[in-house]
This record gives sequence, structure tokens and C-alpha cells, in this order.
Amino acid sequence: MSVGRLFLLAGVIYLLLLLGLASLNGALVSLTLPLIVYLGAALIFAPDAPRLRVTRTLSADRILPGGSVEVKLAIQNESAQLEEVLLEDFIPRPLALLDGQTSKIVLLSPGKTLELAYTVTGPRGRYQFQPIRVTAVDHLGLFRRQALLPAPGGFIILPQTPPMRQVAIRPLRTRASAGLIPARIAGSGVDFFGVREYQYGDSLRWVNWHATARHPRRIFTNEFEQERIADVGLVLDARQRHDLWVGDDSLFEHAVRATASLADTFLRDANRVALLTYGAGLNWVFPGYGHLQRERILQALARAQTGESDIFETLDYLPTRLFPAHSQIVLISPLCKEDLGTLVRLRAHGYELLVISPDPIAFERAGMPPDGKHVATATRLARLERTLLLNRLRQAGVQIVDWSVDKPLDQAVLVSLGRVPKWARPVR
Amino acid sequence: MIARVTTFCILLAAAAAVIGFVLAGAWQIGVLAAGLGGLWLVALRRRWGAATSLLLLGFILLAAFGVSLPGGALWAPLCLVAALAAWDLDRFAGRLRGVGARAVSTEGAEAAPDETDETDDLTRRHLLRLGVVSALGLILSWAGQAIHFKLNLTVMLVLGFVAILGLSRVVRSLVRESD
Repeated sequence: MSVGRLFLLAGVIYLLLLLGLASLNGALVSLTLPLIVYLGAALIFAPDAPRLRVTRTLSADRILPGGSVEVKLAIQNESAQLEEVLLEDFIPRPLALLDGQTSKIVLLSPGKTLELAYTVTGPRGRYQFQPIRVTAVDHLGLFRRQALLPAPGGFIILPQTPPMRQVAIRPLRTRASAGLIPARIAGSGVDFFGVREYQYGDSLRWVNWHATARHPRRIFTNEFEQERIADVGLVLDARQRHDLWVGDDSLFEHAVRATASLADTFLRDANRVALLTYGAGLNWVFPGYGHLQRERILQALARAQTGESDIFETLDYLPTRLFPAHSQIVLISPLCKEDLGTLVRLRAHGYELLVISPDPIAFERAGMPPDGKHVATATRLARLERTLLLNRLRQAGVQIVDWSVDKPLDQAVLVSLGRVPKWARPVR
Repeated sequence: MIARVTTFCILLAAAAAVIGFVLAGAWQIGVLAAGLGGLWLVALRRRWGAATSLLLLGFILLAAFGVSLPGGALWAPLCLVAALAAWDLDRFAGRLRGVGARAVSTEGAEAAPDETDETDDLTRRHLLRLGVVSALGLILSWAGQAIHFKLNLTVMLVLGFVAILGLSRVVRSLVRESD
């Protein structure tokens, strides 16, 4: 902008000079004097290259959705006086400014420190701030010097973790420590597992008197199923082709929230949980326990983005070796018919497979006009196709939670996997 | 404050041109000058930033045309300097507006107290610099109109060539050093 102004002034001065010379008119030449003085003043008071020290402080480095972060920039002038300096900080997209200013135009004396403060909020994601741009101009705005000053800083907005009750899983193999997952092994527990002959040391409280009565001279005792912790591998499907958008709502965001909830639930039950994000590439969080692992998984989920890749277009390249043999795999995916073969193979390899499938048809249908004839037919056909796919997976022994995302995941899991009390079952 | 001073400068430039042309008998050009002034005021209200450069050019051309008329030596430099100041202030207000509505504080209603102080300080200093530059330019221009000496064509051409060459160097160095 200042260069354009400079050329304008210079052009006018040339024009007047040439006109004055051509017409031998001194008055015209003298009209250029105010313009030359103006240019001269800009040249004399031209700013030096700005040398500033910038410190960025953030009120938090991780927040939950709906929270806000206050960003403070302390900018100290280490050069000579800057007559007019424009300081611009750039908010990473798609953060939104809640309060304050991201740019300021001030006069900065030597050694003076200026503070710029603002508050931002935004959706799930990891955000890194860019360098701030400093533009120093003279008072007349003709002469400009610009610099980018590094002011590193960043924070994470974690995904929401809607609360969930226990998810009923039964992997073939469990770990040694006591937990809440039925281990398919007799031992101390609460669920009835079987009956065996009484051995010395068994508690008399667990003697099965009915069985004993039928066998004279032999005593039988009840066995209970041990409950242990398990290895759970969460696989989040981040393939671009599965991400649907209805307005501002994304099906992938629902899947991310579901994954966060599942990770939270499994870790709360002391299981060893790993996360694999399968999309443009593979993002792997090694198996772990406890709060630290929860944080790792939530941070990975905060960064999760959908993406396209020729290699990972289907689930064929799902790296199953990352998961311990016979462990529990939980796939969070809307599913498509190409996935059937891979999932059946996984099941055949001995993995216990649970698929949480956000229903893409119900999700997309919600954003369409309700009275469309063709829409209704198309929906019915798509629904048939999906039901067929889910039934074939069920036949292969895959546990399926068909989740309509307008309902809480907890409710869908309870209906699909939980033991519903007799009084709560629907009347047919 | 900037808006008031800018309006004053536009009115001064237009009034100088209108009075000058009407007194010289060229009332049609006076009407044109009044129209340009009115247009500039509208542009100021509507924030037509790009139009101000054209309007400045218009006033410079009016001043160049009127400087040879009777009394033109007095009012034409005044018209040019006032238009230049209005153009500068409009750009300055634009730069302040660019950093957000609250920092503009020309009305002072929306700005926080410290921001008002900072902007006012900046505005004061800008006006001071512009005032000094404008006054100096005006005095020099008036002095240039008053001082007459005869030069032969060769000397004048040489002086003109030197002036253009010097100015070119200044502009080139400004462009090169400016980012």
C-alpha cells in the first residue's frame, strides 16, 4: 500500500515538474514543493528495522470443548522508537475470537513493553500459533518495514467424552491382573462358571448341595468365573469416504467422541488400551494403562483428522500384529461392504471383534427433506444393504452396535450388548 | 478527532478552490471543485478508500490549473496542501480501522481506556507531524510563488533534469528500503 502511495506522489511531482518546465511556468514547479516536503519527511523519519522481543503465554495448554484459552503477548521494543507499529497475531483456523484484539497499532518507545490479550475458543483439535507480524511505518505511512517474530505456543482442545457404563466384552485371552472382564477361567469371581468335585480347602459356602445329593460319597462345589483385565485395541476409522457432513455436523466427530468415551470406559475398568487411527495413514498409540494413557489417547483423538490414501482405502492393511493375539478389538466405523472380508478374517484369526457403527443412513437422512419420494426409496434400499452387511457380520461372530448418533452411545451399547432386565424388554 | 480534522481539510481544499475560481471568473470550475469536495465527504462517510487517491489527483489538477489564474498563487498551494492532508488522514484512519473497530476510537465510545489513550497519543503525534510538514510545504510553496528570477532555457532544463533525477533516486531508495 505504501509503495502505491509513494508512486502516486512521485507521479504527481513528475507531472507537475514536466508541466512547469514545458510551459515555462515557475508557479507549477513551486506547487511540487509541499509534495516534496511530504516525501522528504517520510524519508527522514523512516523507521529502522523493528527489533522486538515477543513472549506468548497461554492460560491453558489443554481444554475441553466449550472452554476458552486466554492468549497474552508481551512485546518489548529493543530498537529505537517505532512511531507507528502494527502488531498482528494470527489465530489458527478454525479457532474463534471471543474477546480482546489480535492486532494493535501503537507507538512503541525504546524498552517499552506492550501487552496484547485475547480469548479464543474452538472445536476439537491441536493448535499451534504462527509468528506475529510486525509492520513499522513512519507517521506519514509512506515508509514501511515488516518482520515476522517467532512467538511459539499451542494448545489442544480435547474431544468430548460422554459418560458410559461398562461395555460388556469377552475376549478369548485376558491379562493376569484382576479386573472386570470375564476371563473364561474358573476361580474367584461372582458369576457362576461350573461345578467340580470338592477339594480340600474349598469353602463350604460354595458346596453345591443339589449336585452332591445326586451323587452319594461325592461332594461338589461351585466354581466362579475369574474376572481380569484385558487388552483392548480401539480402531478409529478415519477414511475420508466414511465422513459425512450434514450442515456443520460431521459423522466423524461422533465417531471420535465415541472412541474417547470407549477409551475412558475401558481404562476406568483398568484394562490395557491402545488406539489406532486408520485413515490417510496410521496413527498408533501404544497400549497402556491409567490416566496417562487416557491423556495420550485423548490427545491423539484431538489431532485425528480424516484423510484419503490409496493404500488404506479398504481395511485390508489393518495392522493386526499391533494387537495381542486373541485380544479384543473395537472398531469404530460406519462400515461399508468392502470391509466385510477383513472383519471376518480378523474374527477367524481369533480376535474378539466389537464394531461400533455410527449409522450413516440415519445421519444423512436427518439432513434431508422428510417428504421426498425418491429419498424414502433410496433410504430403504440403503437400509436394506446395511442390514444385510450387519447381519453377515453378526453371523461371523462379530458383535455389532448399530448406533444412530442422535441417541447416546451408552444407550445403544446397553441395548446391543447389555443384559436387558425382563421387565425392561419391549413387549412384542 | 481524525474524522473532524479530515472533514475540515476537505472543506478547506474545496473552499479554497471554489473561492479562487469564482473570484477569477471561472465559476464552472468552482462548481466542479465543490462537487469534488462533496464527493470526497461522501467517500469519507462511506469509507471508499480507493476513491480518495483519485480525489486527491482531482484537487491537484485543479490547483495546477488555478495557480496561473489571478490570486491562484495564494489559494492553489493551500488547496493542494489541504487535499494532501485530507488524503493522508484518510489513510491513517484506514490503518487504525484495520486493527479492529474498538481501536479506531474516533468516536471514543467503544474503546477501552488504555486503548483510547494509546490511539489518541498516536493520533496527536500524527497530526503534529502532518501539521509541521503541511505548514512547511505551504510556506515553501508560497515563497516559491513569490520569488521570481529569470533563467535561460538551458539552465532551466538542466535544473529540471537534476530535479527529476534526484527525485527518482529518492523514490528508488524508498522503494528498495521499504519492505
